[in-house]
Amino acid sequence: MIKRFSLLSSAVLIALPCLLKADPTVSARVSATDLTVNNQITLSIEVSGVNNVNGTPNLTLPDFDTQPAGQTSSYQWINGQTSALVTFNYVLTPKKTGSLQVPSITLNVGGKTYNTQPIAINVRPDNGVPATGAAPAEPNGTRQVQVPAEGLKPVFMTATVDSDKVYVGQQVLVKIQFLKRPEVRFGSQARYSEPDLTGFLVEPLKKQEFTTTINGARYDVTEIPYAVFPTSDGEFVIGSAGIELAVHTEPDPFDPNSFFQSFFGRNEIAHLTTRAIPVRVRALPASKPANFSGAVGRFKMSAKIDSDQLEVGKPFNLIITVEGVGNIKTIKEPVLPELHGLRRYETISSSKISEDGKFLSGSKEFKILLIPQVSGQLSIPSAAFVYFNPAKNDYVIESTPEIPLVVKPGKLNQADQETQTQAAPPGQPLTGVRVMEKDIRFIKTGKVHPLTRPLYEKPIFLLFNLFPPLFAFVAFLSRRQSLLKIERAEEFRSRGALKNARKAIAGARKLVKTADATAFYGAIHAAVAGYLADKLALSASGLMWDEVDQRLALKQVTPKTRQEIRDIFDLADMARFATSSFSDESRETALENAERVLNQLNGAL
Amino acid sequence: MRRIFLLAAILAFPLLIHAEGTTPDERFLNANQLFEKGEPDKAGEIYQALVSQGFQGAELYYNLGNLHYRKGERGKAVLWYERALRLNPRDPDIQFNLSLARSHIKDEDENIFRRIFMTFTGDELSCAMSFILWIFFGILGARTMGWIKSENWPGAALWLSGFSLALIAGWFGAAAAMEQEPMAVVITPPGEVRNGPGPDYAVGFTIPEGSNVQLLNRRPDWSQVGVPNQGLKGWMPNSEVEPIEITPASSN
Repeated sequence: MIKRFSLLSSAVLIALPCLLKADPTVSARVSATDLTVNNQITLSIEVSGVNNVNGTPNLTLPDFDTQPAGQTSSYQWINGQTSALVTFNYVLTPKKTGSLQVPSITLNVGGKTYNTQPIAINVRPDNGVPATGAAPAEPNGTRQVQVPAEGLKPVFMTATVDSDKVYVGQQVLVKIQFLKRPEVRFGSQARYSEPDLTGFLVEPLKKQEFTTTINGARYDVTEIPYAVFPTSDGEFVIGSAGIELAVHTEPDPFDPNSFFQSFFGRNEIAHLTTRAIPVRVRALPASKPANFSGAVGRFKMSAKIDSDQLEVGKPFNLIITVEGVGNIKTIKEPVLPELHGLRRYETISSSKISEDGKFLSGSKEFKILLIPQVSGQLSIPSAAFVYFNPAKNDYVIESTPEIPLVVKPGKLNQADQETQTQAAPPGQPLTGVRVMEKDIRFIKTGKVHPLTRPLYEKPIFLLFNLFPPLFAFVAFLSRRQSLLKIERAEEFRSRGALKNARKAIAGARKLVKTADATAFYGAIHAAVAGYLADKLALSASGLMWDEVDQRLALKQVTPKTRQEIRDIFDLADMARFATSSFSDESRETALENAERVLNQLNGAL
Repeated sequence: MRRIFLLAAILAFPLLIHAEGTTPDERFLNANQLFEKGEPDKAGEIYQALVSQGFQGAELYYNLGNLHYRKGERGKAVLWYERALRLNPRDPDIQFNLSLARSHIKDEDENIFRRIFMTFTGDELSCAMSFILWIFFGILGARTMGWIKSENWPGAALWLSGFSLALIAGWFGAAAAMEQEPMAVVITPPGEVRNGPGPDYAVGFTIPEGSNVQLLNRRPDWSQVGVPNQGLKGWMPNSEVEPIEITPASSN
């Protein structure tokens, strides 16, 4: 009977892990679903019910800046089988305000793909109001002390923090201590439940084991410390940690079920927990410098280059190291101003974490790949890193000194080499010009001139260019006048009649004193006859008195004037044949008569 | 006695000029030699003095561009190359160095029409237009006056010169219209363009050192600049942006 029962029990024990083995579960949770834009939250992706998780979650969060914050694991031992709770932690910084979403996250576990539920997050503008939605303070929560209030027990556990008032990003040291008297024996592996640290970035520190004496009683202490960093301001709680374990007890010899006790009941299951601890997290002072990226702690920064032989086209690394006490992993790249003469490529960062059981410290190295583009004396400007020092209660700006560089001429860069290779005919070696270094062309010599206004603004230039159109215009007018003279010749002749007659009279005046009377009277005749010919549109050479007289009559010229004209013509004819009978006085009279007649005619014609 | 002093001063003037150094061309040459000897700072002082004294020259501006490029000041290098290009727009060396100085800028806001219409300087266009003007109106006037007896070529010459005149006048007009929109260069980083003329205004956008911007308004301390292709406007301190155009007044 006993043998049959033992076999049955063994079968159940062997089959139990298989029966208990359920599908893995994958879930995501965040430390807060309502926050301001300058705060951070923690995203935890938990995978439970598996022994091993291959790979990391496939994280694509367009609304957030994502910073990995480590991976934690806790193992459980159940009936001879281990089961892990693996948590992937990330710090999320919202890029904008509004209703954002952490979308469904995909994770491959044991060859199967699992998806988490999307999480809605409300991001508000930063108006100085502390974020809500953080874990509420536990009403009955009291700060834990090393010795529990209910007194010492053979086995107990405590939780303490080094400070319950901290700034966002400042380290809080959480110590979970498990104490047991040396005589206490355990019947099974302890099953440890980590405290709920929602709202904090968690970095487990090195486990400590030591012995202590409390009130004369000796205890073996196992201390599990955590460095936790609050990600946003508000009231938070360090949750309870717990241990479930079987404590070995001696069987009661008077108990009728002692047989079963000896088989199943020798171990008494004990549930130990710590009390929750409230932590008040203050927002960082508002006077944040421009390049502050959230680092809190105490840091130093240095910069160096990894090569002392710099050439154009030859890459080298600028190594900027930030070291100190604080959450090293979340430190962002220091701000480096624009580089002149150097092409900047990607930055590779790596962290070295060390801890002494109290503080998380270490260094983070940023390797920036640079390639000189020009030869000569260049420099890497000062880089700046801003952090908040809680001890000083102020922001601190660390900067590196400027690094001078001497760059020698170097070889052609890779991109240009590829271009040339493509240009070469297939199967033929690359020949011809090879550009070794692309640099600016050399200085020039030449002349310098006084700075003057442009040519088109100078008056002399404008005047100079006025001549051609002016010339064309004058030519046009002249041409037009010539054509008019041809078209309206009689009118022009009539207009010029008096002018021509006066010219002729002036010529005659010069002949008054001369002995040549014929020439004088000829000039008088020509003046009057020419005038009449021009005015009456007749030929001066073939002028007939009768025709003239008739036309003058038609033009309403008085008979008296017509007679005077006739007299002048007759006098001129007589003078041609009897020159001696005309004295100087008669010439003067003839001249006056001619002028008077011309004036009279000018009014009439 | 006063006359003697005056005479002495007049006689000593050439000697003083000689003592002062040399002609501007010789000083420029001297600066170039200093540059070649590896004394760019001294060379730069002479270049800058020549500019301050109101001298210009494509080579002078080009060398100043080279000087700033060597010092890693790309913005100032671009400014002087642009100025050199205004005086000698088709010089391949200036074009090459300008392109290299600007090689770090992504998506340069380049106005291709501006570059095309600035292929010739204002003086070149003025001379060309003047030449064609004389030919056109000369032929027109002479033909009108009847001084040209031929019936064949004057008509064709008039058409050709008239077309050329219209083309150059149009080109000149377009270039002049673009000159009415002065350009400037961002000479120092960080190229933060603010929403108002003061450091208290928020940064609206940033623009890389060496970029060309349109100069919309220039106050004693701040300049309003625009990036027309992207429809952006803002204010920058005068220490970070400088107009390309040098006028006789501004050089002093």
